[in-house]
Amino acid sequence: MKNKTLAMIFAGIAVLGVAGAKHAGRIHTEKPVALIYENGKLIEQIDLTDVENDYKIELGGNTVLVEKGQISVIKANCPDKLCITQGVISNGAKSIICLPNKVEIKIKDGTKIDNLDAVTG
Amino acid sequence: MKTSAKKTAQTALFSAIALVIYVLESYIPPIVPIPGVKIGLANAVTLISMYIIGAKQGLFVTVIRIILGNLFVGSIASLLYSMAGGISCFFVMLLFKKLLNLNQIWAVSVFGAIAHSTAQIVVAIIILNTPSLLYYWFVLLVSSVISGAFTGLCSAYTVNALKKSHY
Repeated sequence: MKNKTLAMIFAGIAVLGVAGAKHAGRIHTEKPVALIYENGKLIEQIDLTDVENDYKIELGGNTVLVEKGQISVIKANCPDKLCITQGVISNGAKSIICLPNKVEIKIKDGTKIDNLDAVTG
Repeated sequence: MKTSAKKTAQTALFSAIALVIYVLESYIPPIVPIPGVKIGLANAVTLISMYIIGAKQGLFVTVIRIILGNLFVGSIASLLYSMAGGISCFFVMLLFKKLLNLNQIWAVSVFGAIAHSTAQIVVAIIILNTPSLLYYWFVLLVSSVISGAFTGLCSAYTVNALKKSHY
């Protein structure tokens, strides 16, 4: 195989990756329910469509901001603050993960909530 | 089955180098806030040992680096991910080493990096049971092409220099 062919294949894979990530990141979640895990245990389950006023949740080392339809981490005591830069999440495509504090926030579709036990248990 | 003393010493040396690089790399702050996106410099050592010493020794170097590396900086939980990634990366690179010539080490590395991220995502989907990981797979594909080409070029220069010096 020629170098040029290989470069073309890799460029194609990279383009596919960018397009795929854009597409997968845009999926719409009908009824977003945020699940907050600490040390692998589910500690909060919030229906984001029901949130009227924004509020904060204090975890061991992180502060979570809950808003209507979206959730984010706004404060962290770890040095790299990756969970903050992972930004605001509002659908099931992305999750927020803080490795040092073992916190994970993900969003599930509330209409499929029956499957939740299978996922978390 | 006999392995020469030289090969044994080389395997030990490369394992040590891979381990040091792996530990040092864990101190580099992540460039992108996505778990799994990293340069993967330690994999360059796998590639180099595969070309310089031999396939079997390359596998040794990889497995030793993953086990000890995760004991030093990772966790037992991450061992499974690293192992799945590292082993599939190794065999894909071995395959492409046979298909491609000596000037295409960089491409061997890219294929290896893609296999590495794909295997890790597959393990994560099995363990976490979250299809949302598909998003990360696409992101990792892009990062694999870039980081794989980079570490591949590093390895290519090293392999050529070592071969010239009759190491």
